Amino acid sequence: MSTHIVLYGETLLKIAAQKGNAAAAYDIALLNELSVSDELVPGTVLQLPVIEKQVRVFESGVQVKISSDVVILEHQTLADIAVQYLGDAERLMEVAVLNELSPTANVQAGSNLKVPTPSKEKKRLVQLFKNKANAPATKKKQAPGTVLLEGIGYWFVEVDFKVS
Amino acid sequence: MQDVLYHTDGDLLIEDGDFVVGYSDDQHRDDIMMVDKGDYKEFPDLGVGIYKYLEAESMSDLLREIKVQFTADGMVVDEIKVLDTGKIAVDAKYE
Repeated sequence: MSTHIVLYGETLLKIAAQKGNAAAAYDIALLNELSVSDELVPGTVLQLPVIEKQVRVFESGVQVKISSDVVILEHQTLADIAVQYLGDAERLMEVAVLNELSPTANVQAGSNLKVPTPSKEKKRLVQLFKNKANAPATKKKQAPGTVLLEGIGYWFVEVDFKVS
Repeated sequence: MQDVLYHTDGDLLIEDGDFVVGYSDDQHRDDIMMVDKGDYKEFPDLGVGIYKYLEAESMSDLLREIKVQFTADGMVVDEIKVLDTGKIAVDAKYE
């Protein structure tokens, strides 16, 4: 087991991402009895678990990141992307960190995202969503005839109005 | 099965300032038929997505998918058929 000395401005997610797998932030948090969102004190020595890197190392020593670029479809959220390409919504944080986005970020259709590779157990599910007609898209779901309420408590920042 | 009920418009049913709990099997059957795969993030392969069969030539794929999905959710499907009126009749109960 190795250790890491926290530098100023580092977060658990950043440290884990540097080590090759952002999702390991949870393992580091657990091992050091921290919450994943805790602010770290510079100089703290963190215990690091064995981190399975999201890179493939060839015999020649060349490292290739195991992630692929995907295009966001209309009405999709990051959770949809996690379900579609990884078959597992719990890997939402991994997708968010890999793309330096908030997990609830309002992503634009047509833009590119990086996604890690799905686990073997989820391959069947990912295959199911290969056909774009089956791609999950949460934001399109709105019952016909729904009246959109207006006013404070119903408007969303950056959706209904912009702060400048 | 007992669960929190919702209104016909899909919003939570609230009476006297509280959730209403009651017999919910019909609600589950409705949900499974209406939702699309990937909508339930925890169980992404659950859901018939019935709207996708709107222009299908044959009903057999739809009936099969309903049976598969209901069975996967723990129901025993005794009968499933399309009535002369065009409605789908499903006889399925949770075990």
